[in-house]
Amino acid sequence: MSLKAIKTWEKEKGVIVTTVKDENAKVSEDDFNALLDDPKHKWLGVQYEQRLQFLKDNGYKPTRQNIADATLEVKSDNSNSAETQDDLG
Amino acid sequence: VSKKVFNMQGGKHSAAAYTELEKWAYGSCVASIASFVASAGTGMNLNISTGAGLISDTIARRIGTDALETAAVPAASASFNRIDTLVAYIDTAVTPTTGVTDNTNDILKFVVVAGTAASTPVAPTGAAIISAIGAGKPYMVLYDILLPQNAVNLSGITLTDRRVVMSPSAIPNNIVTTAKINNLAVTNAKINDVSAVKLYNPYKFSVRRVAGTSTSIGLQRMNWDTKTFDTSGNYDNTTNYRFIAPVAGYYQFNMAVSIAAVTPTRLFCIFYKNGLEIMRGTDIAAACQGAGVSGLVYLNASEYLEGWLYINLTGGTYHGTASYMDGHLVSTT
Repeated sequence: MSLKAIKTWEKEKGVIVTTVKDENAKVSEDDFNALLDDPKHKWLGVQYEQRLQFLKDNGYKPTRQNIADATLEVKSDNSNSAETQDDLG
Repeated sequence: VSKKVFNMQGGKHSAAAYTELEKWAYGSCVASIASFVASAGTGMNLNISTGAGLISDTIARRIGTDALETAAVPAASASFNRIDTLVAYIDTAVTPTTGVTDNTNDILKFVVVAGTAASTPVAPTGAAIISAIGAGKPYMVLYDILLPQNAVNLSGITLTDRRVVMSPSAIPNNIVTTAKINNLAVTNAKINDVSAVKLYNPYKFSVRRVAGTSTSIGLQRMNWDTKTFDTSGNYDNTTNYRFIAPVAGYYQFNMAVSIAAVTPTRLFCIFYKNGLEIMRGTDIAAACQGAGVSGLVYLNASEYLEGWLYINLTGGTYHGTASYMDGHLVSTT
């Protein structure tokens, strides 16, 4: 079974695991599914294409934190929110 | 003489000074809906209740009665119905005297002016009323009385209220301003009948899925393709399957999915706001046939909300009547 980075599995399955420490760690699909079923981990459903478009349209950087931040709102002036997290790889 | 100042020390008052303001403000009127109410009395007599009013002519006169009055309705026609008119008038033929307080010597009169009996009767004209009471006598119409032919009492009459209740002829512009309406002083208690205030919310929708199956394991958007109603047209049921907020506010959303054909062992519903999960229903990790989610969500104008489903089996068929999503604006603040 092939190994992929957690962030790759996240995009394929439309989720973001907010409790994962290293999203670049490579795991199998079974391990990733087990991670989703593990009550120690929390994940959110994400429609990546739409979410990234929303962030772009409103001047937010496409970071993991911004992707998972449900408090982000539309901006009338599209000014950048100046978040400093790393861009999503 | 044209320019007047009333009630100023050292001047002499005319009769007009007493009611000039009322004349211009109200015209001829009764003081309240309870003033001079007509009803059938005994025989051919009409009863007129106590009350007060104003008969405005060249000079306006305040009138009133503190006892029940009567006015006789002329005998009915043997051939046709007739419409008569009850009027109150000031009998200028009676001379006022300083010896009678408030002119109670029958200067104010109530009289029924007979119309003309006809197959399609009409009420007496102003000219007919003046002819009946006498020229130069200020009057005020109170009621029309439809009198059936051959009537011997007033049990069969129909009264048409023609009284004008005292009120300003019109509220001038810029009196009831937006600031005065949008004021916390306007409380429900001050609105006489709160139940009469109609609730109007233009933003509400209900959509469903008449057919379809779960085609993959995991998360999938529920493409609600059929509208039961969508009063503001803000639900996209053809392309992105989402509700787009027309105005900023708090929206209540409800969603339920019922599954047939297969029995998933994990099933739950989710709301996505702007592409991200914002609310999840009960995560049913056992054999089940349905799930749902409800909640209050704040959306800015142009933000959107979608209904999603997590299911761990493919081939689940959505029940059309038990699978739906709806929403409505609750409050803009």
